[in-house]
Amino acid sequence: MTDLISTGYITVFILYALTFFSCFMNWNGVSCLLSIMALAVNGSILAGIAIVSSQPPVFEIFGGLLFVAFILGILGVFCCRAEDGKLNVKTWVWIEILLLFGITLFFLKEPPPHRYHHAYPWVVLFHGFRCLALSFALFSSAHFIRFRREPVRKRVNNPLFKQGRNFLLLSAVAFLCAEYSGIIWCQNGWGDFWHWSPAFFQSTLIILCLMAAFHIPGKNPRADDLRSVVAVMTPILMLTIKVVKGLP
Amino acid sequence: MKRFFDQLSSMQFTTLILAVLMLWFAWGILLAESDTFRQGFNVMNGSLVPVWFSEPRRLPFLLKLWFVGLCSVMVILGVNLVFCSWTKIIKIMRNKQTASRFVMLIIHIVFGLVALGHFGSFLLGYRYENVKLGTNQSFTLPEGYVVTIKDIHFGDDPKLLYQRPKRRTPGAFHPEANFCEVALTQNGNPVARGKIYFLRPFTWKDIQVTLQRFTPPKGGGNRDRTSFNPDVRLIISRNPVKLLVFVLFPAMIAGIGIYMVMTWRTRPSPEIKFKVKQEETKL
Repeated sequence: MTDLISTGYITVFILYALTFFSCFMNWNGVSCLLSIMALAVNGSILAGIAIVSSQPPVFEIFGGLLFVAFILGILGVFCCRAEDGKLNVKTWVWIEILLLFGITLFFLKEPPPHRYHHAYPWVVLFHGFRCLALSFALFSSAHFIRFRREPVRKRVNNPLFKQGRNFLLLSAVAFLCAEYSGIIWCQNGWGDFWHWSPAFFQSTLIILCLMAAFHIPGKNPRADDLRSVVAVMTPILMLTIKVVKGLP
Repeated sequence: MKRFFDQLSSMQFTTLILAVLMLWFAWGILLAESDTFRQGFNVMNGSLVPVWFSEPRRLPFLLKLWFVGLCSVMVILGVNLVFCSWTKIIKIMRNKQTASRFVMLIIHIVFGLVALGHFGSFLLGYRYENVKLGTNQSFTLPEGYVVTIKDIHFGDDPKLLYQRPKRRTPGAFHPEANFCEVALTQNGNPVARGKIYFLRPFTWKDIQVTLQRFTPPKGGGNRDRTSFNPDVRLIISRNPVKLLVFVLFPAMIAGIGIYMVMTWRTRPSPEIKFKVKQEETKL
């Protein structure tokens, strides 16, 4: 089964790379077909990991980032508007997915060993919501990057800015759900909902980053630029923390 | 004076405080990762604020400074929140704000209460970590409460207790087979009795007894599975504001969710379209 997962991983990596290339070349029909094939293989690998390890693929870097890529891919296929131009939102989504796959190259590509607390619902929800939050934040950042690349940026009429903001807010909701699951886990495991530890400080840092993105004042282009920069920085921070935590 | 109040309630001020808080927590991460201060953070986790400051050498000075700084910045954020909310309340009373702004106001108030609940949990109640007890041993709590271990069941291989959790063979530890029975009394009268498993603590009102780990008995004991009787290490805590935080936190998430649904737009609202049209006509 591990060999099958490794083969599937290489296949899906190639499929996502081809999807990116066809999207960049504006071959819309081909990119749509390739993206659906990539999603199907990605979903199959996740199912394989879940079957072999008897736990959802959200705990380790390999499974977690594949799950994030899967959700991001679904959003890219079904929630992106048709756009002209080579570097549109969809292209940025495929670039982000390739970045996630690039990170997984440095980690073990096999199902994680069974740990008893991985069957605990609040632990599963904590990791699952974190992965969802990262997917939504990456989708939001694809919109903000595209917004930043527009020659003339007007926020009031800009659907890119609005969609970016919508998904960043959705990411904040998912992240807070993860935090709530986390505090229940902590309360039941350590007798308190707060712990003075790097993990808690990192989570708070992400929440503060999300809060900052929504509190930057002003209705001028400079304020929008700053908002979009902070919004793009948020998933980078989330991803960095996830990768650092996953290091052996 | 009005200008000062305007500054206190401004979004610029909020952004500035959030930036300072981010730097403060980044510093906190560096401190918590360093070997010098790890023990200090263990003290912070094992007791409440009054204990940290009760003895001069209990906590390193830098950690005390970090904590006091954190509280000061949070107080400033609280002042900003109060002034900002007050300005919003006045605007809502003058019917100048939309329903989504009203929801946002509620979210901010609930956030303030959640933050207060967090702060309250550092001060109120009690917390005892690493309470090591064997069968029929007791631990005395304030207000005449006593926690007694009635029985300890360890159904797995005793060798597991001598291994680090990460080094154990996957599936070797069965959380359902390992638990202890506790009894809570107040002034000698039985109050409650129950079992504690990993991630399933015993709770009575605000008092919580959490199973931290099983430990080998003193002197190693007999490693035979049938007669092996380990000790347990417990965390005994009482947090009177726990319920407040556990109720308000999901309420805040629900509020943000409602706000998101109310303001989810991919195209400009008719109101904004009208404003843009007006500006274009002026030009």
